[in-house]
Amino acid sequence: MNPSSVRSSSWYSTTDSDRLARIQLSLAAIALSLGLAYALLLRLHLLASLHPILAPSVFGQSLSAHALFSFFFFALVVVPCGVVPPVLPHLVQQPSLAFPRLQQWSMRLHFFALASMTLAVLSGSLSASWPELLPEATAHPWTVIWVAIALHLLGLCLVCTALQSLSTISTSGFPSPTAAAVWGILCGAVAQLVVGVLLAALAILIFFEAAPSAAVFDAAGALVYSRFFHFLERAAIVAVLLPSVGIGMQIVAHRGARRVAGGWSTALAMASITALGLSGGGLELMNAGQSVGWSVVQSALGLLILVPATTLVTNLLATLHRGALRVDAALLFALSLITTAVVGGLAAIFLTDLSVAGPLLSTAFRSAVLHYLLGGVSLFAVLAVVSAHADDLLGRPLEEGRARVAAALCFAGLHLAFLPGLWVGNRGLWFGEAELAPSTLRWENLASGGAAVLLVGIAAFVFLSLRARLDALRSPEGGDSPPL
Amino acid sequence: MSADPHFSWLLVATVAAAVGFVTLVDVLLVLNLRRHAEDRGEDFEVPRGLRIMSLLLPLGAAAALVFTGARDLVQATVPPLHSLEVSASRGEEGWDFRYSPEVAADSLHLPVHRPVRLTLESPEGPLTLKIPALRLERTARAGAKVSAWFEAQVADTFALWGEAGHRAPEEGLRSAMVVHSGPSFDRWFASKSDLLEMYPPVEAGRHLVERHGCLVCHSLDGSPRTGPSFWGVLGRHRVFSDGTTAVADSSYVRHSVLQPQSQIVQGFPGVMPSFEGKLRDADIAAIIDFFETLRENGEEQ
Repeated sequence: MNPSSVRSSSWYSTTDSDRLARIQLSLAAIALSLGLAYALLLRLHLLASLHPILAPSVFGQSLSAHALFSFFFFALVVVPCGVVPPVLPHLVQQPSLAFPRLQQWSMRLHFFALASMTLAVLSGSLSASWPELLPEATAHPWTVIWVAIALHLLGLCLVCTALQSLSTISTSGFPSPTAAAVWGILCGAVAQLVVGVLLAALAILIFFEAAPSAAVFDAAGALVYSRFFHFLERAAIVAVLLPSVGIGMQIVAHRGARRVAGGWSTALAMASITALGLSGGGLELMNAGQSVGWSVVQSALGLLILVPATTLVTNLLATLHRGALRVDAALLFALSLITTAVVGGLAAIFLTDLSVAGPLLSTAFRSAVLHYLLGGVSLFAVLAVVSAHADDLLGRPLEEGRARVAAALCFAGLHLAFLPGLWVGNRGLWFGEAELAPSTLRWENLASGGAAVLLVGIAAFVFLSLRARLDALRSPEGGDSPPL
Repeated sequence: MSADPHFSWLLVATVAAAVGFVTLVDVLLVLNLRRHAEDRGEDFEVPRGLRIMSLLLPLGAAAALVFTGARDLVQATVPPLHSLEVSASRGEEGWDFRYSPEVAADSLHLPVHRPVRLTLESPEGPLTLKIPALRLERTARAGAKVSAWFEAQVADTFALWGEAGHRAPEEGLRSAMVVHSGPSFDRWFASKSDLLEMYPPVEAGRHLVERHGCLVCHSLDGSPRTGPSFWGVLGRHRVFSDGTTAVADSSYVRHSVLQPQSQIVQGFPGVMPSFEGKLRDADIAAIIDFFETLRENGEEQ
């Protein structure tokens, strides 16, 4: 990448793939910062449980803002829009992505979606029940409309990126069975397409719901509405997890100077997870817990994911075995990513078990699994790819020793921050209810400590990345980094 | 609750898988470190036996979980016939747990080892009820009802609270679930259903007459039914089937309630059951106070 060419066109009209990826990474980073700011506010409220600092309505609004920024504008978009574009051309041995205008439109839609969501939150009347329940009557209609516009644009942004990934892979022929990352991106793009279309359509329904005379979702429809988000969750896990795990396996294989083990079984496992995840989620959406028989089928589809998931884990361990591993920050982040995917994925699969699904649905267990899995995997995917592709993305490699320390902090922080939630949720509680059940207070405090460690790790990595970028801008001569 | 072992098993399985995976990765990392820059890894494929095991083991686990899950779902969907029915809604100053039209409380009282069917309703806005000890959370949307059934296993007091759409507990909806041993619950229920404590004597007498089904056979307006009317009963001259007579006073009423077959009013069948052991002296006194109002200068017509 030549920095002088970067300045030759504006950020809005550029078609430079790396630059667009960098802009979308920055947009995701802004959303993550906003989401983390609200999370910090909620944590402070929970720490001061004897003297709460937020009124219940403000607590609910802050929770909504945290969920909207972190889930939709970071976890859902950062992997397809920020992580995949820089690595996909290397993986399929093409000079660039197909149809650069799709990536450009993806960035534009992403930008306007984030701006709309920020406007909705700044309006101060965000409903406390977003995103799972219908907008309350207390929410101002304009707030609902801004949220609807934001989600609609974000859905279209995901559609653009998915189409670009699919067309780039299709132009380079049938992927090799050992190209785990390409298979992961391919399966993830299919799920992303479903998520994008559904999100764009759902946003239109929300828009009409805001009109005083139109009630799109009546009392029964409210249940269906909440199920839309359950389905989105499942599809989003597939869309985020598979590309990230594929890229992680590829980094492990590259650092071990060998191929990904397993041959076709890796590709088949990823395709099976996509099919089972989307069909199980779709069935849940259609059934909405109304029929016992269909609920059992839906649970069976979710639990069957254990089979291809075990295949992926076996192949990963086999890839580590007899490799000649070069341990660097990218490998540490990749292994963190895979560990998070395995542990969180297992807990998420167990959540489809009907014996516990209902009782754990609205507890810290589900919340912790979702944060750990989606947040952790997408965060480690970004950090792994930025570490591995620092030359392309930042113009300079990262300072290796400090990047490894940041990796260790992020790994420890993430586990301390969210795994206590499994215990708190297992007691039937939601975060913030320790005041009413004091035995869980120490777990909540441990989670707060873990969140602080995670924040330090992220801040250290951001600092190293900014320093590398500034160095590159001061002296444009830089080395090449190997693909992945 | 009965799902506890299942929860614990899943938690242990998740933690064990996490520890096992991280340990295995660390061991493989240490064993396969690159010693020299020119080192290259060897391609290694999983042996066939291990591959088959990695398919069969998770398949077996999935099948077992589907089976137990289906069994638990069916069990959770259909409440037993003899369940105690309790409805929950938001009252003026907190929860309103209602056991019958007359019996209500602001905390949830239950008998241990007896199925309970709890129905949550909310006429205005979403209302959430949470009982962590039962892993129970239900949200009723505006105008809708939701229900759940459960069986408390331990007699103790547990936290219970509610949320009104804010995803944060509300001060006014913090309460308790009190699980009683069998006799303790019966005593509590009897105290809550004591009409003499809830109403003035005349009102209580009227409710007692209604609760015990007296009005099925006795009218309040003077018209004859299976038995003589309660209208103007006190002071009336009675002729019995054995030819004896008496003026109906308070001791006559008490005697007719406790031993109805000893004095059967002429022209009526002797089908009235005894209320001995069902009505206390104070209850009968309240009924007599109510009968006092059933005459020309009384309140009732």
